[in-house]
Amino acid sequence: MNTLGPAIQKLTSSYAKDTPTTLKIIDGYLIYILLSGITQFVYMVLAGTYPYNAFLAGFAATVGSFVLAANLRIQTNIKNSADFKTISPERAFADFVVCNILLHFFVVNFIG
Amino acid sequence: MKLIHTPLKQAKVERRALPTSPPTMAPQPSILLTLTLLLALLTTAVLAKSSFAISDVKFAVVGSDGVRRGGESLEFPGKLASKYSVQGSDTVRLTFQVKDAETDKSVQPHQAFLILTNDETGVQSVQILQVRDSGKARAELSPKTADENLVGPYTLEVVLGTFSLPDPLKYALGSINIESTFDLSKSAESATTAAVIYGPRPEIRHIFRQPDKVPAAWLSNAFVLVVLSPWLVLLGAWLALGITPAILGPFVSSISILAFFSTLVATEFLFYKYWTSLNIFETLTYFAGLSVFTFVTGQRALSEVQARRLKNEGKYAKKE
Repeated sequence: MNTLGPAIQKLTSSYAKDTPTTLKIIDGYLIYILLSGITQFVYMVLAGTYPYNAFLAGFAATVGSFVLAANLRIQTNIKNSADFKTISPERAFADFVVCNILLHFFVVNFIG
Repeated sequence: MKLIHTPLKQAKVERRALPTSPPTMAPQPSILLTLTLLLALLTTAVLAKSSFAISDVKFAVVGSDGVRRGGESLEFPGKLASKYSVQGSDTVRLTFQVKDAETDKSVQPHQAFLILTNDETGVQSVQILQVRDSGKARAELSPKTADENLVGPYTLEVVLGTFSLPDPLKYALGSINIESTFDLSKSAESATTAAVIYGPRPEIRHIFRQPDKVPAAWLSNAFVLVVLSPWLVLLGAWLALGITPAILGPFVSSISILAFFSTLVATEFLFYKYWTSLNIFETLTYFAGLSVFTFVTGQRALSEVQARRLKNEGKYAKKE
């Protein structure tokens, strides 16, 4: 337990120093999506699943957005550029947008 | 003797059996004696009376599980010692040997019946006795073969008759008591259907599905705020990273990026209209047109962004 505090400190400092700003923006978005999904799930546990399609639509929207954002983060990370030589960050962002539009279409279709 | 018509099936069997002469049985010592006596009588009286002789009469009541529940062996004119009681599921089995009393040869009579007469109502039920070439007769009364509702006290009689022997035979076996019908379910059904009651039936009340429990309004309202609260987290995080409106200035000023952004907003607005008013065909029609604009503007915008990024990278490369 003594080493845990310094380890976390080192992790946060290196994250703040070494991570590019674009990835930090995506990380902020990921945290936001994660919290949205968690709060919806807590509401479902507390209040029940009555408008079940609405809950499923909302929760699926957060899960899908999280997955898409995580993929965007992987593809735009400079350290991974060797794996995605043909995919520029802009191409990744275009994929992200197209997939999000499709996801939103399905979610809206499902919401009733 | 009662006039009973031979059923077609039985008649066919008889016709087939007619040409064949009954096989001779090996004469037994005691019968040999009577035979010689009869032969002696024949010499004196040319026209002797010939009639049936019955032997080896066996009567049995067998339960539905195949266990023998009662029965006895009889000598021809003798009757059943006791009045057997028969359950509805039981099988009554009667077997005996038919012979010509004079020649002691086996006979296959043309007509052979077991007649059950109800002692109370007088109603008769006729069962066919199956007789083989060897003169072995057999009758079975079971739930499968009985086609009538047999219940109550019955007197059993065997009736035999054929062309070759002038005297028919009527043999009163005794009586049995059938305690319940052979087909209980059928009789019960007919009893209920017989009594049709005309009148108003009980009212049929439709119970609709109960509406789902709607959660309390305060809880839902509170959670609307809770679910929206991560927006503050997002804004806080992005502002902390230095993404202020000021830094977005060059992007906002670019027409292609603005156009791309507005087409995206239009797409989301279309989805909103789909949720509220449009149906899926209208939505897909609009979406097909809009997606072309989105593609064009997106390509322009992203290539501009890429160009700017490459320029910046070049700048950084020069500096380093």
